[in-house]
Amino acid sequence: MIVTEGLTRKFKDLVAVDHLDLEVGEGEVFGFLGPNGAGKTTTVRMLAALIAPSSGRAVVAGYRLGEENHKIRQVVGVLTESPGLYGRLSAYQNLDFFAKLYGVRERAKQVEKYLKMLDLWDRRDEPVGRFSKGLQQKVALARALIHEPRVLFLDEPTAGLDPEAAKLVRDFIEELAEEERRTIFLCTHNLSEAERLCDRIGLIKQRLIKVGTPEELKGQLYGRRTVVQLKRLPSDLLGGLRELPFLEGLEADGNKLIVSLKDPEEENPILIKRIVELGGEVQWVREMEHTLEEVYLDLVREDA
Amino acid sequence: MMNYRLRALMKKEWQEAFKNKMVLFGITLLPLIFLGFAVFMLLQAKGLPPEAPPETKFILINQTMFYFILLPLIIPLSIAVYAVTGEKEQKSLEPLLATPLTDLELFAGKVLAAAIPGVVISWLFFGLFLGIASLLVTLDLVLTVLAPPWLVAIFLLSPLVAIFTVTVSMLISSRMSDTRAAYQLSSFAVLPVVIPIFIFGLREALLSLGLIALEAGIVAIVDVGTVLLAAKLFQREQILVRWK
Ligand SMILES: Nc1ncnc2c1ncn2[C@@H]1O[C@H](COP(=O)(O)OP(=O)(O)O)[C@@H](O)[C@H]1O
Ligand SMILES: [Mg+2]
Repeated sequence: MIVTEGLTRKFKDLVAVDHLDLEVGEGEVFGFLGPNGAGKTTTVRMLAALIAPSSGRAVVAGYRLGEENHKIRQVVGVLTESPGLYGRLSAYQNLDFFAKLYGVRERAKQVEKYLKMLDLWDRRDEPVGRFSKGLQQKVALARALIHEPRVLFLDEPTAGLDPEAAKLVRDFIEELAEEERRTIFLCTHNLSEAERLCDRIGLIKQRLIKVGTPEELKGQLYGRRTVVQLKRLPSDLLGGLRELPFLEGLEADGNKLIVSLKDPEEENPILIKRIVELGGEVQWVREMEHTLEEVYLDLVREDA
Repeated sequence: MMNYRLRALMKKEWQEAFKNKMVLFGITLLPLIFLGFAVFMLLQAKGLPPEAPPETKFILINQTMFYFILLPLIIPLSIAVYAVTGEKEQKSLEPLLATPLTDLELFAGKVLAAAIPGVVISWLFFGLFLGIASLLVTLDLVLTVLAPPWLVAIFLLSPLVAIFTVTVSMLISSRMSDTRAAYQLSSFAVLPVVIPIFIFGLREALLSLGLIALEAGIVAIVDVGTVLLAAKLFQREQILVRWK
């Protein structure tokens, strides 16, 4: 559905996106993960034929970027970073306008379908400027979908929403993802969001750093880590634990141990047993969750 | 000639504009005030003592033309400024540009959406003025208004002036983020167009066809320039990368 080759965009001296080689299949939900300024929005803008690449090529939904831009715009949908709705117009007017621009057949039906699907039907005639951020984002999503695009670009769809609204939007995206033929390109800087919604994730910082399924990425990165909270740290505990053959890493942080393991399901019981034998009093055991910062920083470090 | 996307955009512009106080003032109250001025001058012409030279009458009547050239200049201003700054403030340009709307349709839609009300409303008020004039003053005075210089001014110069206003204020607005500032600067920028009319009105007993045609010609040439310049700015790449 999306293929890029050496796709690059410069702004004067700044290289925003650097030789991106990417392939996203039909029906796939692809997560484009990276911190602010990584080039996510710039990539979406290029792929949606909004701005031209400085070099490189891309094919989107079978159309060549640069030569068939008009066709690309006809078959892709974009949820931009900010909802960008016409605040004085109603939800209905907003959607109807875009349906017209896309030349949607049976416009009224289509507008009604999405307003109902997103629980906005009862408020269809209110100016959207009065809507909460979450509701506005829903209208913007409906707008991106109104012409049933084959490729949907979502640029940070939950950024700036309160947790409740973010969940609603995420649930809706999950529903969309189930439709088999819809390809979704999701930009985010939220790892758990990418993990939950995406089939594959690409990590980007100007260059594409890594691509894989969420499991592959996490596995590759860390092994996995277990956090053990002790009442206090016996002095010979660390030395004793280091003798465990499967241990990949061991750090102490106050009374907390952070242990890297290959196969925690098998190795945690042995680890805990050993800690107890060595006189440790275990308060808590949990799996360490990785924030995007960690994953990301590790990858960048690895990359450099 | 007008395709469905262009029509959709124009309709959207109007739906938005007519909910905007500044625009509403520009298209209703302002023409009414101007009409009031014009009628006032008409009454003055009527009230002149019989011994006054006949030219004085004509000068007063011709002065009113000023208002009808000012209308297509001012009415589109607020619509055109808002058509650009409104999109910028609402950050709605990017989703709009993601649609199959072409750059030219975007530009033409905005220009027409602002220029058409300016021209139509000023014609409407010109009609009203004619109606009131035929009730208030003698037919020969009304007929001066229906002479070639006036007709050229109303039906040729007006639309040209409207296009000038629209393109200039769109150019200025694309560079500015504040609606009010863009509106003020645009207002100054378009005023020079009416100065000649004002001066002709003061000097000439009868507005001459030649002078009006000359001004129309000059405005037409300037229009070509501003249209080309503005059209160049209204391209996706420019809008997304350069506009502030
Ligand atoms: N119009 C522009 N002019 C100059 N630099 C830009 C422009 N748009 C984006 N950039 C720069 O390109 C880089 C990538 O930006 P962006 O694609 O918005 O990142 P992201 O969406 O991942 O936060 C940033 O350093 C940003 O400052
Ligand atoms: Mg971004």
